Amino acid sequence: MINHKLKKIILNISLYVIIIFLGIIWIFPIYWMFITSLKPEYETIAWPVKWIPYPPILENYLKILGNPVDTPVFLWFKNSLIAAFSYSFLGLIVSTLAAYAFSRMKFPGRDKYFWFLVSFMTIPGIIYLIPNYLTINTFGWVDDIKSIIFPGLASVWGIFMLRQYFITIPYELDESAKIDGANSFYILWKIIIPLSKPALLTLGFMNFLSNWNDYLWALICLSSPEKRTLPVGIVTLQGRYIHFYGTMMAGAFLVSFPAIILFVFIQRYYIRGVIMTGFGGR
Amino acid sequence: MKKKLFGDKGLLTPYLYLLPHAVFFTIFAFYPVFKGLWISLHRWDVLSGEKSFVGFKNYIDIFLRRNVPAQYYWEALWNTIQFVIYSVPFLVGIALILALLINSVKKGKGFFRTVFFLPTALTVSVVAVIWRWIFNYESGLLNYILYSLFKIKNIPWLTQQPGAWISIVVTTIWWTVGWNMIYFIIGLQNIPEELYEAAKIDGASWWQTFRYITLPSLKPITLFIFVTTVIASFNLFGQSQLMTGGGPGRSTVTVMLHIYNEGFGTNLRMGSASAMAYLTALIMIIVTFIQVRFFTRSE
Repeated sequence: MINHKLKKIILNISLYVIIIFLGIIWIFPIYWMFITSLKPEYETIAWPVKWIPYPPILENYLKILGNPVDTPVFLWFKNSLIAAFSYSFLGLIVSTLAAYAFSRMKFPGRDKYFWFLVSFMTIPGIIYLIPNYLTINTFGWVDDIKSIIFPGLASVWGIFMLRQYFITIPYELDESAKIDGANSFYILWKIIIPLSKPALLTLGFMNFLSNWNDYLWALICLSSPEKRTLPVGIVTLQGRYIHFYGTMMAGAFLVSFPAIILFVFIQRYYIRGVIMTGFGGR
Repeated sequence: MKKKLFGDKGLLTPYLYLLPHAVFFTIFAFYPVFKGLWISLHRWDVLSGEKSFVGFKNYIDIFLRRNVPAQYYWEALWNTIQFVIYSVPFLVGIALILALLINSVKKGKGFFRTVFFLPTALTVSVVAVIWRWIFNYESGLLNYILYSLFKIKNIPWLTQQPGAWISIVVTTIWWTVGWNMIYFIIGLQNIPEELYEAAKIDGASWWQTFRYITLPSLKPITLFIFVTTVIASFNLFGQSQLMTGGGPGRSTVTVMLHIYNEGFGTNLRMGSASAMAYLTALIMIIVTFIQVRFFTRSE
């Protein structure tokens, strides 16, 4: 009996040792990025390495932030913020309206159209790069933040997710509102949307972060330094400071810090989103 | 009596709700499928401004390996397949191990979940910059640790094979394994508690419980994870472009990177790049189909 208990305790402890060890490995690259950014350049490449910089310096941050012509970090930040915010906001509107029709209304061709849209989720994204770039070009949106906001609104994923959620809201609520003379938009605005806050927040956050982190499409569409978003801005930094590791890490930290903070707070919405749809938005 | 078109009970009302999405969907999702196909049937050079219909010539060129980009395409495809083979087992296996660990600890589940999920919040360019630094030849952290612990001389990780693939695979695992872990955690939580209790009463060992209850119950989510991970690995782009630049030689140039270079980077030949994109999409759909068949056949 004692033996059995002891065995259990040892098992438990070793479990924690393993998971804490792995956890440290996982966090370490982020720690290393931050620590390197606080070292003077000569110290970043010194062996033996300094695990904790003393004294920490802000020189690298000043170097990047103090050069608004070549590395306009604040502009990139603003561009990223505008794009991600507009995209997630417009995405919510567009998806909510469509999901509402799919989940609460009867009309000819509803299910056929829904599955037609869903079938597009299986098309590999690679074929969209060239034709969508040419469309953007026709609209005169190359090197314009509009190119980062609007194409993503074609996504079906948000509709799929919200429809799943909307159909769980009892229909009796609609019926009683209709008897009171409410129109369909009133029902959407006063009943469906307030009751779907968790789902809407989830979709909003997921759209925000996916847009914030988008790299390939932004790389294709945005070319001049002052038009770039943060993910491509980092590449500008890399071109300039490739051998200045302290400066590079300061740039990387500036870009990732808002995303990390946001993510720590919203990750439970992500997980909820995965549970709600049976799959995440990737 | 004539039915109304507009207004709350109007015939068109549902379609008005669908309209905003339909506009964007038509322009950026439906139309480009055909537009892309149309482009792939042209010689479509941005530099010379030439746009002439050539039928299936771009596809035939790829299959007969008639020019350098076509030869490079097959090389890039093979590189991509190699990456899928190297990365997917780890991305699935490590995710399962992490999920099992997190599921077994009593305290700090949420904390550890956040730790392993956190890197997915970073953008690929940041991830590449961090790991380039860690894998750095002269003063990288990894070479330092290897030297101080095992007296191993500096390894040029990013400029030699198999170091370049190891670097990209490790970086990708660190960056994206959190997603798969989340799926596995949800899968584990969905297994009914009664099954485990019944196994306990029957005196099943840990391994037996794992082998006959946990693993079979995870099968549907594993299929999903496998399919999405293969697709994600097939789309490898940023890590190659930013960490190794496709090198050493062309050994880490992936299909995505090759198509990017052909269409946007150096060559600006949109016709042949489009043909390559369609061919790749077809291959991806076939691979996905085979996986689904493979997983569902034995049921």
